[in-house]
Amino acid sequence: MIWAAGCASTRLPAASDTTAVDAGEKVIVLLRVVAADESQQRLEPFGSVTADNNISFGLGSFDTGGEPERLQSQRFLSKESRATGWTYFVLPPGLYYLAIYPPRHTDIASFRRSLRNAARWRLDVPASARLLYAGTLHLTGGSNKVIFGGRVLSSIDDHCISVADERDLVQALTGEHFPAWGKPRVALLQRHQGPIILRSPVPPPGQPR
Amino acid sequence: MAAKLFANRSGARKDAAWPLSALLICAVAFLAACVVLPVPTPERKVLEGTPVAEEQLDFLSAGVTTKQDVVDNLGDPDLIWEDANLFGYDWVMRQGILLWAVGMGYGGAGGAEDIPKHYSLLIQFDEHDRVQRFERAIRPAMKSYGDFLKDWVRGSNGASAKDEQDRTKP
Repeated sequence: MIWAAGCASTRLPAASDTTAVDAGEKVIVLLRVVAADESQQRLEPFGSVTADNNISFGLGSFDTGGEPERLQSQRFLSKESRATGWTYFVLPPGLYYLAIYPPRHTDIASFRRSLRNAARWRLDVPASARLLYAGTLHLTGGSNKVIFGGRVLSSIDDHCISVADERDLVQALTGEHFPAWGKPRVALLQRHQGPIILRSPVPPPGQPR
Repeated sequence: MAAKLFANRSGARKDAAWPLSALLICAVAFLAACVVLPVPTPERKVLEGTPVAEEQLDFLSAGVTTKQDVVDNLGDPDLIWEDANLFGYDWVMRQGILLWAVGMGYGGAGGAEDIPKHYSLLIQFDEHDRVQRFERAIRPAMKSYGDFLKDWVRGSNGASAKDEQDRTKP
């Protein structure tokens, strides 16, 4: 019921998240998505309350060998910021690989196969930051009409994704929600090419996990 | 030696547990009006990546072969673990097909999925970027990539691909 009514539209950082950020164990990573269909009509990336959003993400890390795994839910600071395409992640410092996915229109096995080919974006989360702005993704894709009116993305044109720097906008957003943490650091997403780079401390030999 | 024996025994116990687990899964699936049947196949089909054969590793020599030699012979790695100075080359083979069918009322659905087997060639370099250690290893399906790498670097990984080939030889 809550899901159908879209009441899960915002998921603010939990107390454990803010404690971890204060301790330097995690970083709040902010990202904006601006999406448009093939006729350049704007689509709300996270607007759906009854089905998949137009955009979802996969995140790869050391644990996955860099292979993005689809995130089951997304987090937003407010209804207004969600409507304008802002989302955020709470991540330990490290190197991540972000993939951007359209909604699912096929069976789950075919969809999973299609996700493997999505472009990867490198996200470098520094240890010294509390807030990080990873950029504003501008993307276009094919769309389908939906039965109740409007359109939803059916595909994303990976080659047409670009990253813009809107640090003034993000400063206004973080100033409103996290005034104590100052201005966010800026580390824009980089399109990934070549070998996956992994970073994680080397465990001592023979030490049990 | 004792540790090796123990590791082999533990591997054998895991192998013995596998048919029982498969039987249990099939039984539960059957009771839920669905049929799941794993069919083993010869490992001939490459699902992802480029396989690296044991013979292709003849040029590797600990303390001698350089990082550049490795790239020249095998190409760019699929992954680089910077902190461990490690290269990884990954590929996936098909080890079987999973046939499944679900019955619902007067209808139903079914299909076939490849059962993958994940291989990695891991090469660790020393501080002078010369090969320190290498192995063609099999990544267990239930182990995360990160744990697999960490266990290998610790020297406590499961069977290498060569060990498994030896074990399955008639």
